This record gives sequence, C-alpha cells and structure tokens, in this order.
Amino acid sequence: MSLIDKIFQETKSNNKIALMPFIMAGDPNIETTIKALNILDNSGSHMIELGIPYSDPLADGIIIQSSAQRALNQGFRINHVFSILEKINLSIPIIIFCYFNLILHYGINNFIYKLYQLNVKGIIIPDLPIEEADEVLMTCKQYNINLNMLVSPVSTESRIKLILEKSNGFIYLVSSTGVTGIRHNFSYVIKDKIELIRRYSTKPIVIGFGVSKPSHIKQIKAWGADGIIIGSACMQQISKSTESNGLDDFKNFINEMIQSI
Amino acid sequence: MLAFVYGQGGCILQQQQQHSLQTRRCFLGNQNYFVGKNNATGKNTKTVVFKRRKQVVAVQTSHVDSLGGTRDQKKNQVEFTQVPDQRGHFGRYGGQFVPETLFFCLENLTKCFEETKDDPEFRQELNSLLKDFVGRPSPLYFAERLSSRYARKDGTGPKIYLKREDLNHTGAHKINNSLAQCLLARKLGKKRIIAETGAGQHGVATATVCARFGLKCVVYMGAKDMKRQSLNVFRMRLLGAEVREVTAGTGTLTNALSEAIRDWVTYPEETHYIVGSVSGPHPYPLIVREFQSIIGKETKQQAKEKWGSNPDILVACVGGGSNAMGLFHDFVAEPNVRLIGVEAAGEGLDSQKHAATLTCGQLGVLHGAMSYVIQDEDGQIKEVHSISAGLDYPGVGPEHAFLKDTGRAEYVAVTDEEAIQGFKLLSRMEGIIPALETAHAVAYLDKLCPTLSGSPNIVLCCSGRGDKDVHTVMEYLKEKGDSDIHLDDIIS
Repeated sequence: MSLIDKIFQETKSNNKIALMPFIMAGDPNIETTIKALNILDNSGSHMIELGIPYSDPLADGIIIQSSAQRALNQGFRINHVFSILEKINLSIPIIIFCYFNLILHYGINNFIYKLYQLNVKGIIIPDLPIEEADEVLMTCKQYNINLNMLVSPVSTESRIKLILEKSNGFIYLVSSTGVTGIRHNFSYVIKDKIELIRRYSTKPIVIGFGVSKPSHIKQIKAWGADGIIIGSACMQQISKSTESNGLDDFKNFINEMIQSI
Repeated sequence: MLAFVYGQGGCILQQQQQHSLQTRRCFLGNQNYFVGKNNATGKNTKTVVFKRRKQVVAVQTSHVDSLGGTRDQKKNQVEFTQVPDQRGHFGRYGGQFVPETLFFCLENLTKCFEETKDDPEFRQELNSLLKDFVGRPSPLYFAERLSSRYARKDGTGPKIYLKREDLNHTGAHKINNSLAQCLLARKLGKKRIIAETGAGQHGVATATVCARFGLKCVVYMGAKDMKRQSLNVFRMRLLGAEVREVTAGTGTLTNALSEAIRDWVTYPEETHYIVGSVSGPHPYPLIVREFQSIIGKETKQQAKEKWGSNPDILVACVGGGSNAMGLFHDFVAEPNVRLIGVEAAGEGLDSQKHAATLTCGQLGVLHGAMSYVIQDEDGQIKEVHSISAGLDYPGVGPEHAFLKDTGRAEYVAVTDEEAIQGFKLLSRMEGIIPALETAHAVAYLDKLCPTLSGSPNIVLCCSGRGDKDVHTVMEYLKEKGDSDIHLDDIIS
C-alpha cells in the first residue's frame, strides 16, 4: 500500500477526513511558497498539492488563473518548482498539479523521473483524459507515483468505470461543473456520485473545487469522501498577506479548516 | 490503432518528440515502411507510407507480431479520409485534451454528428439554407488581371482562380460551419450558443445564425481584437449577441478560446460551443472540416466545368486552418494537387513577433488538441503577433500538423508588410478588397508563381472580405508610409 493510501486509511479510522490544501508555486514569490509549505506541514494537513503555473489553465477560475499569471510574470520557470522541492523537507507527501503541455514539453519520462527523484508521491493532470494517459500511466507505475484522475459530476457511468479501472491513484471528484473557484454550497449530486464510485472501487475519493468554509468540510465528510482539496480559498488567504503580518491569515485559515475534519 | 508519422525521405523526429516518445527504431530510406516498438504500450508497430510520384499520399500504422523481416507492400491505397480515428487522432495529433467535465458533451456531440451528417432531412435543410440564406454556391472566378501579372513573354503562365467565400452572407467562409453546427445544436436541444472569435467573422456568423434560429448567443473576443475589428463587434451586438471582452494574456484569439472553454466547462448541459476552426478537441476538427469541405467540393465541380480537370495548386491562409481545410479536403487524396497553406510571419520569422505555427512551432497541446504550438522553453504558450486578427493564434488545427508531417501539404509564411501589399494588389488588380487574412495567401502568389512552369491552374481561397480591415490598414500605412505597388512590374 502506498504512503498516500496509508494516510487515507489512518484518517478514516480516526473518523476524520484528510485535508489537502493546494498552493500555487511562485505566487507571490518563491520564498512565500516555501514558507506556506512549511506552515502546512506543521498545521495537521495530511497532504499538499503544489501547482505549477501555466499560461493557459483551462480548468481554473479567476483566482488561480491570476495566481499563475503573477508567478509567470515574475519569470517563474519549471526548474524553480524543482528547486523548491529540493529545498524543503516535509513530513507529509506532496502531489504536483500540472497541465499536460508542460509535462509533454519537458518529456514525460524525464518529468516523472524528476518527480520521483524529488520524492513527490503523486500527480494530477487536469487536461489529460484517461484515453491519452497510457504513456504517463506506464511511467508513473514504473516510478511508483500515483496518477490521480479527475471525475466530474456529469461523467457517465461507463467513463467512471474506465477511469477507475486504469488509474492508479485516488479519484479527484470535482464538486460541480465549472472551473476552480470559491463556491457557496454543494449539490447532493456529489453524494450520489460518491456512492456510485464506491460501488465499483475502494479507491479513495477526494473532493475539490470551491471548498472555503468549515461547514463545507463537515458536509462533504458526512457524504463519505476521504479527502478535501482547498485551492482558491488558500490562494486568496495567501494573497492577503503582507510584509508585516506574514502568512498569519493563511495560518489561521488552515487551523480553522483543520478543526472541522 | 496508433499512427506515428514521419516526413518524407527519413526520420524527422523533433527534439521534443524524442523526449516524449520512447526508443524507437525506424528507417525509411528505400523502403516505404518502417517498424518500431512503442515502449509505452510494449507493442510493435509497422507504419506503411504510400507515395505516388514522390508525394506521400497516405500512411497506415498497424500492430505487428514481430519486428524485421520483409513484408509485401500493400498495393491498394489507404483512404486519407479515414483520419481521424475514433478518438480524433490524425497520426500523433488531435485527441481530446480537456477537463473531464467536458467529456459527456463531446461524446454526445460526436454521436449526434455521426447520426446526423448523412441524414437526408438534415442535408436537405442545410443545403437549402446554404443556397437561400448563405448564397451558395460561391463563384470560382478567373482573376484575369492578377494572372496577367504572372504571365510570361511566351504567353504561358499560371491561371489564378479565386474561390469567392467573401461573397457569402456575412462576408466569409465562417458561416458554412456556424450554420451547420447551429442545426446540430438544435438537434441536441441546446438553447445557448457560445463562440470564440479572432477577426470577428466567426462571431458574426454565429450571431447571424443564432438570430435566424432564435438562440441565445455569447461571443468571447479578446480586448485587442475588439479594438482592431470594432466593425464586427458592432455587427454582433446588432445581431443580438452578447460580446464578452477577454482581457487575459494578449487579449487575442487564444485567450478568447480559453475563456470560451471555461464557459463551456461551467455550463456544459445547456450550452453548445460552436468552435470556429478545425482546432479544439475531437470531434471539432472533424465536424468543422466536414462542414467547410463544401468549399472544396464545389471547387472540384466548378473546376471540371471550367477547364475539365482538378486544379493543380490550392492556396489558402492558415490561422486555425478552417478555410484551408475546407478547400483542401476533397483534394487530399488526389496526389497531383499541390496544397499550400500560408501562415502569418508577422514582423518576420526571426523576430519574436509572428504566428507561423507550422513553420516555427513545436509539438504541444493547446485548447484540447495535440498539434504544433508556439511555446517557450518550458512549454508555456507564447504571445504571438500578426496584423490580421484571424491568423494571430499560437496553435493550428491538428489535421494541418498531420498534413505537414506526411509531406502532403506545404506551409509557408508571409509578413505583415507583404500581406498589406497583397491586400492592395487584389484591390487594385481585381477590384476585390480581401480580408487581411486572405491577403496573406494573395501575397504568397508573388513568391510562388515565378517558381512555376507551364500554365497551372491555381485556386486561391478568398476566405473573406476586407471591409473590417480598412482601419487597420489605414493606420499601418500612416505609420509605415504608403509605398505604392508598381503595377508595371511584370514578373517573368
């Protein structure tokens, strides 16, 4: 069983839901990213999603889009992600969130191998469908890295079965149609989708897109998910930070979320 | 079935492909096939390249049990029109690289298209609208004065024919696709249509058909494009569409496309996205090609009537590539027809300001399809530039990437300055003011014709009219100075 699977099992047995915050590398700058990663490591979060800025993020709403743009405007390069990963020494696993063209350009094998060398445990590629994922899957399996696939609330049953069959990581069930961004509430469709997925697989199910309040976490936990990803809300808190108050807003926000798991 | 395709006369794997495709043994040389092992799937593949008179006509890849050994050449020709495959692949290109949320939409659309495209009732309705609403067939017009520019002293010289897509309702070829896709959307029960637009012609065409069928229409347009094509913005609003400004990035076509995709990801159930070109995820390159292929079909018929055979050369401008694909498609399987696509070289291929994707781009994924993309060293999509909004795009339709790699079509590039000359040339020599996009193709004739011998029949796709561009051209000429073209220059 992989480290990530163990974490999901442990949190489940403690009657908790795994908290998996997302932050965009390089926004507002690399030092802040490293600080934020260390804060998350000590906060009680179970895993971290680290996003690589991309020029055309199709799955992202305005908060994460602007976040990526700010990082790129500073001259952020892929190598900076690797140097961030080299500098830090976290106790919880990191999952990389990256759009496919960056990986294709770097070279699929080279990229996955690099992640392996940097002790990254998983990867999420939002614009890589299961049909085009053969090469990536093969390489990930070779290096024992999880390729976590997305499922949407409008995905058909046959597609869900295909994804469950071929993927080797957890299932990232997006909370609704649309792009990333803060939402006010979530539909019962998620509960039904979780039940549907459970009929075919025991793979852990993680919910993301829009989570921003403790009440969201409670509701999603009640619906039976194994983990929660918080992205836009985290980046919003980080962008509130200034020189003086450091990342206190962010720290407090994460602590608040941790209380609800 | 995977198809890995290489250029003529040897292995032209780009550096990037080397990275991502694992070890592969391949050889072309005297043989017309090559074998290799795909390390990702572990299967052996054999790719057979069919040529006729040194031109690649078709490729076919199949899984084989073992490598090596001699195999008999297949004498029968593989249909080029068999591409794309079920998942939208043209060789290595195409596919569906979009977030999971869109898949049920794409599947429904594919199913609807397959069921509808040969349905006699659909065809009848479409043909009747193409005739009475759009004004088809568009003329194939012999450009006598323009041809005389390239005539030689002995009287021979290329004969230039213009396929007058600019005479269609709304002034460009875009309406062929918008109209047909609107009928599809109606069949799918969608009430809301979205579209992206660069030059505005696709936006206008979509707004036009939505007005005709009473559907809600939202058009995404880059802020920069809205300024340089303000005539079209006004037209869209007049037709009842909502035009949403996209300020991200360069404020051009590529940003509008991204935003349109995000809209579709947000409202997939009630919305149909009418993609304007042969780019985007499958089934769009197939659908748009199918509906634009009326250009080539008519041309074939008209050519037969006018001079009794196929054209010798086809020339068209390429942004996303829809008018070119429309003209080329029926001739792709005819090896004696030369296909030339003209891209935008902007301020020059050496500058960082151009949009010549097939000439200078690399393998990449953009807006849902694997194709050529203009990108930086990390794979971030680059800012491109062209004076013409419709060609100002860092990607290109995947089928064009395939045609380039197989050597079936040639792709060249023309600068802003040359395009302006082309704009003026057609205006003064034939009384036709072309769109700036089309002007790129016109400009290429000056480079092409001196290299030709005999009297080949050239069909140039006059993809649109240039009213929308007069302000841009005026400003350009004011800035750069108006050097008049000299009409007494006969190229011999």
